[in-house]
Amino acid sequence: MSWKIIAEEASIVLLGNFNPKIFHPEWFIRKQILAGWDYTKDDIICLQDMAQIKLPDECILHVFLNKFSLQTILATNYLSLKDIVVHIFTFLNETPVLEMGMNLKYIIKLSDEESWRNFGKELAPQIYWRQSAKYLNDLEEKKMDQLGLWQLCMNLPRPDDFEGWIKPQITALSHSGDYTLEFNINNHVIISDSTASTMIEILNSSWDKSLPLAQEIFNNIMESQTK
Amino acid sequence: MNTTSINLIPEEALNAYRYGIEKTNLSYEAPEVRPRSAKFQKIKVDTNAQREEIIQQWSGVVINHTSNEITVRLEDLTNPRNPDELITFSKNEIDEQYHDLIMVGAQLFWYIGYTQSYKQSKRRFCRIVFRRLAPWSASEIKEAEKLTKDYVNFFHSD
Repeated sequence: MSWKIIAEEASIVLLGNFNPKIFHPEWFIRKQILAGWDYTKDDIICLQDMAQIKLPDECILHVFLNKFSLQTILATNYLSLKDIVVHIFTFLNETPVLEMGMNLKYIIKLSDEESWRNFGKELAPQIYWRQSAKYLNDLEEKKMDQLGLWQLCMNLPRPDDFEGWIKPQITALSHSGDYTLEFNINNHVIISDSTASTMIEILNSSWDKSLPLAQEIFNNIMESQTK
Repeated sequence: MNTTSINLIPEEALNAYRYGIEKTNLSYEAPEVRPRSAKFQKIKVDTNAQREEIIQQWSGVVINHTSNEITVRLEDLTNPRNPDELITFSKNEIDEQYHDLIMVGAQLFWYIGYTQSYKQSKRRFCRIVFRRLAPWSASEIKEAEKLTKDYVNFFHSD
């Protein structure tokens, strides 16, 4: 079975209490978090309760009252993503931050339909599902093609002492072309004292480990299924 | 008369505009805001976008710089067992947005890899990214001063 990565993205997501109206491109430039750029042509939303900014180098920022996310599709920006988040919350260090997700996502394309179907059959054997509803046995073989794995989420314990989990999730994507799968690894940490400074400490110590760990989980699962 | 019925928009409906989904992963399946603003970008898979495949990466610290060149000590992040290296390269290789960050002690990442997209053939690339680090906080400065004092006391004590 052959496959290739067709898209990827890393993101840092925070849950807490945020003030979206602070997040204006000019704020990033004045605080020297980012170099100046011409943001006047960008599609920017800066409202009381929602901000969306396309930052330089393919980074996208979304801020709601309860959620902050920074994502990028360029692998050469993955390590810098941490610096931007740390920089932002060094200035906004009184922001309550309750939870943090360090995520890596891959979109992969399998070579053909059979490989795509077999991938799901291996990870979630169909035998129990075929037994689960008697009517399935009476269906035509063509209709039975619809039986298959749509989404799978595993809960892995954390490798460190932080509270939280690592949740790899595989989803069959219908809207990104034939035989594609989304592989999303959510490295979730609960911030014990709900402070930005603890979040910064955890991010500083974990982000550089989180990326290779996610890559390792992804590669090993793909290797185990493509032997 | 019920005095609590003065809100014309139910709290729940109002919040649907204002809050993102309470999950720390970003999903392609569900929109963050309902009903979605036409201007608010949907998180979607752009399979036509450029994708980078990193072959080798280093982290570096600027040791010295002149008007034309900078000297950097590099630590191999791909093969950490490799010894550190000193390398000198021209300032022309550095993106203009980073020129004001060039100073002794500045940190950077250096990447070599391939870039490819649906409409673009595979190309080799080399990228230098300077880190924009947060300024030191008052407590960090205090801690550093204390550590300096401790070192001074240690080396002067006999």
